[in-house]
Amino acid sequence: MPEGIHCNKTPINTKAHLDLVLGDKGGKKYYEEMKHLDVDTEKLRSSLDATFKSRMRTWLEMCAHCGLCGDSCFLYLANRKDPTQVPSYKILSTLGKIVKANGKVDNAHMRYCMDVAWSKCTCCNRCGTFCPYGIDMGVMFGYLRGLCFAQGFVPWELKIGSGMHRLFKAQMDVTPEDWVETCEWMAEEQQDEWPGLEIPVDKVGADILYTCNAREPKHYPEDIAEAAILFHIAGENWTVPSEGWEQTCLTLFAGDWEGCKMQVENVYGAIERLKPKRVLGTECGHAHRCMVIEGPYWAGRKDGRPPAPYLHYTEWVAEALRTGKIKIDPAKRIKVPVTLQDSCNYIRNYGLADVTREIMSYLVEPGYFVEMTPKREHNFCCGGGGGINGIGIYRQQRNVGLKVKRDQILATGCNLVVSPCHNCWDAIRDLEEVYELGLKWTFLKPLLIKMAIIPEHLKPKEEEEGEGEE
Amino acid sequence: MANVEFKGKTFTVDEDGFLENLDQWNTEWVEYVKDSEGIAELNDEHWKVINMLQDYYKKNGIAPMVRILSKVTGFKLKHIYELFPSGPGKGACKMAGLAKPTGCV
Repeated sequence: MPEGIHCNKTPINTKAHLDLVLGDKGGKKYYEEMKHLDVDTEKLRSSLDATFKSRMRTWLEMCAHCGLCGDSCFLYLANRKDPTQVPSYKILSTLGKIVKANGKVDNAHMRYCMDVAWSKCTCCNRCGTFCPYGIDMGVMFGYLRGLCFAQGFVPWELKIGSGMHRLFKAQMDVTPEDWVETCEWMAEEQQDEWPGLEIPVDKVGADILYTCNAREPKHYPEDIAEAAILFHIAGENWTVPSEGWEQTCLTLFAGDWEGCKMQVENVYGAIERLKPKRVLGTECGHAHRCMVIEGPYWAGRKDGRPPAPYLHYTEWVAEALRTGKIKIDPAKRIKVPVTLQDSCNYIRNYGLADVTREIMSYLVEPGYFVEMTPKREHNFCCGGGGGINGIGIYRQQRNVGLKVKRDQILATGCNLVVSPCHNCWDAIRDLEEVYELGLKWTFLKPLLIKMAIIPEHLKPKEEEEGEGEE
Repeated sequence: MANVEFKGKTFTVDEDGFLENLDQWNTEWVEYVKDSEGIAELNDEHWKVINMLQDYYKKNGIAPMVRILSKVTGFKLKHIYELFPSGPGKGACKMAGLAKPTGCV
């Protein structure tokens, strides 16, 4: 059958195409059409020739089927050790078969690949740390997603996410004008409490260029206001770019490699244009992975680094606390049992475990911080990584996967989870929605604002005048 | 997909508990959702938000940015959260019968 109207191999590059796919609520027609979508086996074969290189080829060939990766995978554990959830099995039965058949696979196999790549692997890379050979299924599933995307076999929400990036350079429909207006609005709304607070746009040569996640201007603008308040308290010389502000790449989760390159170049363009001393990203895991860990390679940067030093939000917070730019009121420290969610993307894959614990040492009264088990680099995925958080058709699989995080949190005895990653924050919220444990979960920003000692000169003057009048 | 029954009305919802179809939306749906969204009683301001979200969605096929919601209703962000404690992105959209927003939300 020819390409479907909603489901096809063409990435979304026009508003009309985006509206058409968005209008198919939940992707009903999209998934129906997918059942009949042809596989372009010649294209698949040439993709393998061009991109399936020695590392992954060796990984697939050398896997000894020892099964040690099984227990490393939270989805295997959550699904009562179902053998079809062993990472080795998952990759060999999907990508392995495509490689063996040199691309000659049918529609049913590609739909099977899609189901496994997006509902049975969150690309958390935990298996890679336990495999005796260091084989990383997360990397290979990321690759498989790329093959699936190019053939049109991608979950409906991520086809839309990719299209949003291509049209808006953001994962949601937020234009540069919308973004700047939201920043102005958020600065304006803080004036009563934070007189003089600014969100400077396009300042050249600032100490910090701040980038965020499109969900912030679209759905959670308080996150932008909170970032601004903390910069205000810390006395930072900072700015946001009018273009190139969106740090996330749903294209990564979608397997849209071309879209990944477009997105990272958009942000790097802002860095080159505004020449900040450093760039700072929001409390997001995959945004950091996109711009700092993988982005330099997508953009073809030979040094493997972004154009300027690019910090995760936790690195800036730890530095601000360490240097006294932000001082915590000891009376306001957390005095209830509290645990910490380690984000795969910047803890396991970027080594910031000590940084987040340093932050906790400032925020939590000694004796109240309880580690999850396992923790740090070995922590389990929140259960919502790799895009599965936003994919409706896999909600049931996700709910099952969330049991591992649920049990980890329950074992700490804590009702409060600090989660400096949007994706983990959402997963814990949804975990609470399903399992009703009475949990509370929080980013760092609101905690810091509640606990920080506010310098006198930043306090509203009205208070003093009011006192005088009395 | 599942069916939800409330006060004699049946609603079809998606995997995340959002209405499958805006045509099914009615005041019973709002009543059904309000408890889980932590809202005790609905007032005119809740309805102003709900009506705005629906108007925008019917016109654009997508939920509005919070900035647009604030501009049209005249409500500050803080007040929108007072009205809808679970937030304008999820709670208010769900109550208004909109589709679950796509992306990281």
